[in-house]
Amino acid sequence: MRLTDWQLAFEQHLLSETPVANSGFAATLLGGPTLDVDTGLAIYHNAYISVAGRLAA
Amino acid sequence: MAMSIPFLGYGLGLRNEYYEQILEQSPAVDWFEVISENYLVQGGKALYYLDAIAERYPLVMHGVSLSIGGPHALDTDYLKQIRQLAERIQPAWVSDHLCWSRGSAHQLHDLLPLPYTEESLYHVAARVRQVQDVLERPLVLENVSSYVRSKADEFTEWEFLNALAHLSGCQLLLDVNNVYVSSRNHGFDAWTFIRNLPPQSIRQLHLAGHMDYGDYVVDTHDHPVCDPVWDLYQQTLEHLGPVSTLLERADHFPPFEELLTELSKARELGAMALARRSLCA
Repeated sequence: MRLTDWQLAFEQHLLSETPVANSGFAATLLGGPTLDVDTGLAIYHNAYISVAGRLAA
Repeated sequence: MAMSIPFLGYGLGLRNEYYEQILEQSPAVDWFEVISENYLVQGGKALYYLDAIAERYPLVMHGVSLSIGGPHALDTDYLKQIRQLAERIQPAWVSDHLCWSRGSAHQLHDLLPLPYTEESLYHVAARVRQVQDVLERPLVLENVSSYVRSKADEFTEWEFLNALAHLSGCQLLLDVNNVYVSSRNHGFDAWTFIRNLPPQSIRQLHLAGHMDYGDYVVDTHDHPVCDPVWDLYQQTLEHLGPVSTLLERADHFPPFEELLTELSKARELGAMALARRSLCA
C-alpha cells in the first residue's frame, strides 16, 4: 500500500465512530508481544475522539 | 549542515500555569522549551510573558503540528509564522516530531506513526529540507511513542532516524520516555534503539512520564518520570556525554516546586552519569 493510501486509511479509522478498524487496514499493521493491533488502534482512536470532543465543547 | 551542539543544561517546558512564578522567583532552571503553536498570535498576554521570560532564560521552540510526514503540502503560512517567532525570541533551536498529524482534510490532533519505508524516508527528507530552507536552520525532530507499526516497515525506527539525519541534515530530539514506551509496546530493546542513533545528531533529550497498563504503555506525559526511564536516561548520558535535557509535562500540572524537585533529580542523575563517563574515558 502506498504511503498516502495508508495514511488515508488511518485517517478514516480515526474519523470513524467506532474504535474498531476495518479489517483491510488492520491487516497492514503489527502490534507487539502484549499489545494487539485492535488495542493499539483503539488508543489512537480514543485520543482523537477525546481531543476533538474537547475542541468542539 | 555540520555544526557544534551547545549544552544548555536542564530545562522545563514553559506553561502558562507557571508564568508568574518564573518571573517572580527566577527559579534555577537553565532553559525553557516553549510550545511554538501557543505563541503564533499577534500580541496578548502569552507573548508578553514569553518576551519577559526570553530576556532571562535561553529558550527552545518545540512544535506539535508541522506534520512533517503528512500526505498534504507543507503549510507555508505556518512555517512563516514559526520563522517569525524564531526571529522574535531567538531560540537555541526549533524542533517538532517525526510523525504526521494532519490527513487529507483534517487536523488529527495526534502524533501518528509513519511506516519506516524507503518511500516515507524520501518523502520526509524532502520536506525536512523544505522546512530548513524556510527556517534557515536545521530542524530537530523527535521520536514519537507508538502503538501500532506497519507490516511494510523496511527499517527499524532507529535505522530510519539515522538515514533521515544523513539524508536531510536534520538533528534529533531523543525522547527517552518515548523510546521506553515504544520498546514496551513493540517488544524491542530500548538500549539497542538509543545506542544505534548517530550521537553527533542528538541535540536534546526529553524526559517524561506515562501510564503503565501492564500489557502496554500509553505516553501521557502527565506523570513523573519512572525508574526504568531514569535508568535509561543515565545510560544514555554515559554513552553520549552532556546533552541538553528537558523535563516535559503536558497535563496534570503539579505545583511548580514539584517540577523543580524532579528537575533537580535529573540534574543529579545526569551529573552522576557524566562522572561515570569521565572515569571510563
